[in-house]
Amino acid sequence: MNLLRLLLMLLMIYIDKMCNKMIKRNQTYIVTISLILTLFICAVAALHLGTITIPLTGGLQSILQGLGLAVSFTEPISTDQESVLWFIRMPRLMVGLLVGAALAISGAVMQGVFSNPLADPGIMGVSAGASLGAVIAIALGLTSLGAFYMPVLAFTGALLAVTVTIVLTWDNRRLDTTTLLLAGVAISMLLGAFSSGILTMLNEYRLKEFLFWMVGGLDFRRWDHVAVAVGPITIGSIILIMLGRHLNVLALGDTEARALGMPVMVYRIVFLFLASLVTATAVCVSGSIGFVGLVVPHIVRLLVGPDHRLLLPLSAIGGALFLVFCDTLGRIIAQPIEIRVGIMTALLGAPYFLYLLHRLRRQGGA
Amino acid sequence: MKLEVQNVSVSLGQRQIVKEATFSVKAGEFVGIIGPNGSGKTTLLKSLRRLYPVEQGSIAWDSMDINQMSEHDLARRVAYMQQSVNIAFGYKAEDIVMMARYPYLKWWEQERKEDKAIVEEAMKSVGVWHLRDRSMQALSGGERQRVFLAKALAQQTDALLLDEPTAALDLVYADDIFYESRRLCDKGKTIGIVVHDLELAAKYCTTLILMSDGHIVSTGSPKDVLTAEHLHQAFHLNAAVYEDPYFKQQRIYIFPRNMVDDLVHNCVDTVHSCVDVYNKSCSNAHYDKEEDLV
Repeated sequence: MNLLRLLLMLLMIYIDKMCNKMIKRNQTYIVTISLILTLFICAVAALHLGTITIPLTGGLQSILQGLGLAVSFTEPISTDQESVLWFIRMPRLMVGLLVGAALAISGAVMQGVFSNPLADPGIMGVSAGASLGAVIAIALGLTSLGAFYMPVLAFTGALLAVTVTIVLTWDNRRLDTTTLLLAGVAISMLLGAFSSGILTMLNEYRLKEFLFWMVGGLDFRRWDHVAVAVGPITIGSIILIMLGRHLNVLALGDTEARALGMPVMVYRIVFLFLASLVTATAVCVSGSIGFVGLVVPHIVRLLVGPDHRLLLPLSAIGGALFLVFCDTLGRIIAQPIEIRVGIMTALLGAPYFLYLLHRLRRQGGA
Repeated sequence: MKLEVQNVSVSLGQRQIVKEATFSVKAGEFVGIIGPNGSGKTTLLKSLRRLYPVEQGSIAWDSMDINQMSEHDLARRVAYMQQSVNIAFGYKAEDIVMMARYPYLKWWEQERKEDKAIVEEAMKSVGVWHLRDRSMQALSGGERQRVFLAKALAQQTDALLLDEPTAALDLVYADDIFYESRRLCDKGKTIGIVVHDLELAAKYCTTLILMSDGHIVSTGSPKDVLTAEHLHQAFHLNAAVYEDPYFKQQRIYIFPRNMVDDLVHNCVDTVHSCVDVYNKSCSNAHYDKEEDLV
């Protein structure tokens, strides 16, 4: 018994030494572990808190039973609580995780592709295209016919906008990033003008409907939304993470990447297409939520450096965490009113980002 | 690796930048490309690495036409270093050098142990290994250029193309880069370098290519290329070119543009006679010593 205790102690000393070594070498491990832990806590809180509080142990039991495990260690939760957990909070949490991860990862990719820290997921006209799709759906009254007309139209609009931007910029087998950026802005403005034009002709009720979509939110998300989003977002994100090393090279600019033997145009289009696909999926299930794609990659970059092999997966975790946190806080902070998540992300993200920049400048980094 | 350039012309947009360039380079040569601004030096260098498409003519590395080579193949044979790279993010110096291993990896692979060893060796040989964990944005211009030189080395190519690597550097760093490059050539690498400092070019390069307005004015050893007539032809300037009698190296004195021709001729004559006198006195001294010995 004593021997066992001694062994355990040695093991703990060893682990402690290893941890110290890791801390000295870089922050990456700590950042990763704390991000995952915080995400877990946030997810639990998101399921637990709200107008109806769901007991932690009871909720866990319900989830485990739902997963097919016949366990019973506490008294079961009421049917009301169960339906809130399974049909409101769980899908909302899932959509939040997916959308947050999608926006952050595509923001990081766009910033890498354009070698520009100010790029955001909507830079290629994705958001404007999705908005126009949504406006058309609302104007034609399709939203009252079924919940899926709007996402489908938004998705189509988003991908069309990106395709048009790329095709217009494509010149002589080249795709210049500066031109692409400007073309994206121009297309966004043009589509924005169309959207505004249609909006001025709508009645007040429909206008409000659009405004709600515009601000972005996770309320009334169902398992259907999860089902729609999970495929494109996970597949797109996994491929993007796998290609992280190439994004590192691409971010050094055209000449440098080509001098290293990279088929620059092929990779640029692959990255732009995948990032746009992921963004479009996110936007069409949750409306346009700003700030996640811009701020989260920045924060993660400040924490672990610009290597996209780390930056992309950690941005995904960070984005999911940030969105779920904002959504949960927005739900409980001013009960019974709910502050929409799009507002919360900007309210929390902007000051924190400014603080981080300030601190880094004082340290002489950035 | 030897290089054959036959009758090459390169156009950017409507303008023809390089016009019918023909030259050849043997393995292990250190070739300096010199000429005034806008004479097509960088364009020529970039087209040697297929970064610009060649309009007519042919470029062949080791008798292999450049257009027949795959991207990866070319990147494993010829490295190219830009004048300056605008780095948007704070990559560490080691990350940057590690990117040189790109052409050796399949698209799904990550860097292996041997790649790390190669990177370490390259960084040590240029003397930037101690900067490996520093962000590129926190390095000085000279340190940054040396990191990029290490990157070009880690690419393990037989040929290196350097585009004005010393443009923003002080005298010592510039000399360092040239010294380093010359050492590599002596070990068998072929290096092409675009350079503005003619004396630096004369000091280290084995061959010079003088360009003017897209044409090659002259190629050959620094002594043959750096003459007053050639410089007048390329730069439209009056200069006295003489060999430094002590270091045996080409020196160039540029006369102000508005100086009268007669005065220039007088000055040139004076310089040359001074050098002659010095040389004679040196050789006499040499004789004296020998006689003393006898």
